[in-house]
Amino acid sequence: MTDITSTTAAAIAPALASPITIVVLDIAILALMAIVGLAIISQRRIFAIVMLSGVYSLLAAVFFVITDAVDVAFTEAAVGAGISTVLLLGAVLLTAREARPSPPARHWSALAIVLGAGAVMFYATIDMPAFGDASSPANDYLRTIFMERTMTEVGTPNVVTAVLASYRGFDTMGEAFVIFAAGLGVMVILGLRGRRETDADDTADAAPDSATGSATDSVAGAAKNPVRQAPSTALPTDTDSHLILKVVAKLLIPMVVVFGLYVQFHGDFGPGGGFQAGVIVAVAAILYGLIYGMDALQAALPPLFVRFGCATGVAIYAGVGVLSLFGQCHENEGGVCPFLDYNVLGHGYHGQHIGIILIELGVLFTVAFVMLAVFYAFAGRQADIPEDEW
Amino acid sequence: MPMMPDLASHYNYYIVVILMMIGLYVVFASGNLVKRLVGLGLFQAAVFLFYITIGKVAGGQPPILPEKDHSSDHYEASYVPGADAHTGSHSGSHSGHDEDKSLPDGPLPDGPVPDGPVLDNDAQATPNADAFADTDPITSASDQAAAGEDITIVETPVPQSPQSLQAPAQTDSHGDHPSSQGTHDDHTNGAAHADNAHTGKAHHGKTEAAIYSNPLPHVLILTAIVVGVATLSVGLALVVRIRETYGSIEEADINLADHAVDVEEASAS
Repeated sequence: MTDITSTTAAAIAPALASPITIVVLDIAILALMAIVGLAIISQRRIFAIVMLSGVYSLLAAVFFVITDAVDVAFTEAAVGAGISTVLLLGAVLLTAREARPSPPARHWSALAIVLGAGAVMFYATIDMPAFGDASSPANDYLRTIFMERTMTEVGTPNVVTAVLASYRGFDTMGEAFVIFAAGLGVMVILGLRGRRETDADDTADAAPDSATGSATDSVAGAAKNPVRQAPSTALPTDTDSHLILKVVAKLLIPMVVVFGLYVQFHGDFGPGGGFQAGVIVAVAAILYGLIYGMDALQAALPPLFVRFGCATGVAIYAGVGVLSLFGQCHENEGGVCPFLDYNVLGHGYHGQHIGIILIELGVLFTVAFVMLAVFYAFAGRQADIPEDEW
Repeated sequence: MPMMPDLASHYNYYIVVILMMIGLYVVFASGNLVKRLVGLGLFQAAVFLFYITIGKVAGGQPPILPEKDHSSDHYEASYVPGADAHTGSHSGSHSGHDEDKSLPDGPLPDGPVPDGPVLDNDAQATPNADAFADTDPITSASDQAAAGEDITIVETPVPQSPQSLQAPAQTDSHGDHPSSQGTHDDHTNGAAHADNAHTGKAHHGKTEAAIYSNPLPHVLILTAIVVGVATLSVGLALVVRIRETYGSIEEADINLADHAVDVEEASAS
């Protein structure tokens, strides 16, 4: 039956990308992902694990391109290979280099659980529709509805943006709030203070700490406080030696920001939108901090400004929703307009366009500033790892 | 692609299950908290793959519609996706195909035609199928194939007789592909066939009508990725604090320390 596919594709036009190429790519990429996953299991060095997870994310991004999810691929490439790798590396710097091997009993019990759960899930795949089935329940109804109505109701060519920002605008607002709440959580856990103040504080009580043994630090009282030999910050401050890196970065970082803004404002017409743009802009700022040091970054974007930015983002998003409550509704006269109904912002398409641009701006602010705030929180910590562990 | 044997058509699901189980195994078997979070990330990405796999349509395009004509920029303007693209691009880019040229190019319907006879409009494949099901229930089994096979049914203004249109069309395309002889009688194969035909078309140009993959899973996963990294950062923040307090991120050490505290408290009281 496979040869029908191939011959049909070949007969239509040899120059076209046939489904066979997609099938081959699909099989190859997914196999690579499985191999990377197995490599992660066998690795004990955390640095290697983090790097492999970055590779895994990039492979996932390629898979998303193959399966037409260009917006998702965009996000995965920026988030998986960019921000999460940076955050994980920051955590590695602050915690440990190597994972201790688990006892064999634990491996065997984990294997038993995994095999059992996997067998059940394999059994469940029998009921799943075939890959690419256009008439599967998930693709049959809603897909056509969205593809058909988007142009008349919302007017943005990128249906993903239309669904994200308009049809499911309320849901996306919830997600923006989750991101905001996660940022708040990190700030609460790791502290709000900027790096310089933390520095002063920590070096102040680091000296008695190492001498007397855990006075302030060990909440549990039983902590085996490691000897703090030459406390180094999570990020190097002295990067004067990287001249080439600095020059190249100075050229590239503005372009990264411009590209991020393009992704932001072109999100209606092509792949992109507030989430991707927010991540890209945050990556630009993080790159600047990594290369020029945290002092330079925090001089450009003070922590207070970043914190206000997080709140501004969700405020813009929710504000659009509240604003629409006060508007005149076109459809149901006399009634109150629903939350996040963009039609009150302008007539027809224009209302939708204004609304989408506004809430995408809110998403941009939320994502970019939360990512930056999280980065600040991590970079502001002190690594207290003994030298011999490196 | 739906033509593939079961093993191949479900390959993605198998890999998703394997990746999920790899992630779960890392979470269970490793005592290192950072490694566990990475394992959680593997699991999460496997769920993303699952959703995107479901949303993929064979021969589909990314769900980005051709840009609308801005000259008719009013709200009530009806959009017939790709309607204006056919006359030009079909004859031009499909120059190697007899079935394209042999069929008449009928007049395009004007104005809003949501359920109308724009059969070659791939974005409307299923609604058209529904329309057929209403008018002629006999064809409902095959209308999926009919609506999809836009090479064969080009801009016909006669939606009441899809059967008559489809019959010669099938012969046409099978004449072109001798290897598919003998299997084309069942309609599942016909649908797959149509899908394959689209794959070819989908790459001709942006404005040409095409099948689109499902945008809804994309939306869900897009936001889930960013929410995922936000929650990962919370997890990592907790790990960093645990490291600062316990001096270790190995679960065994943390349990030992907690146990020591318990013993200490018990002996103190």
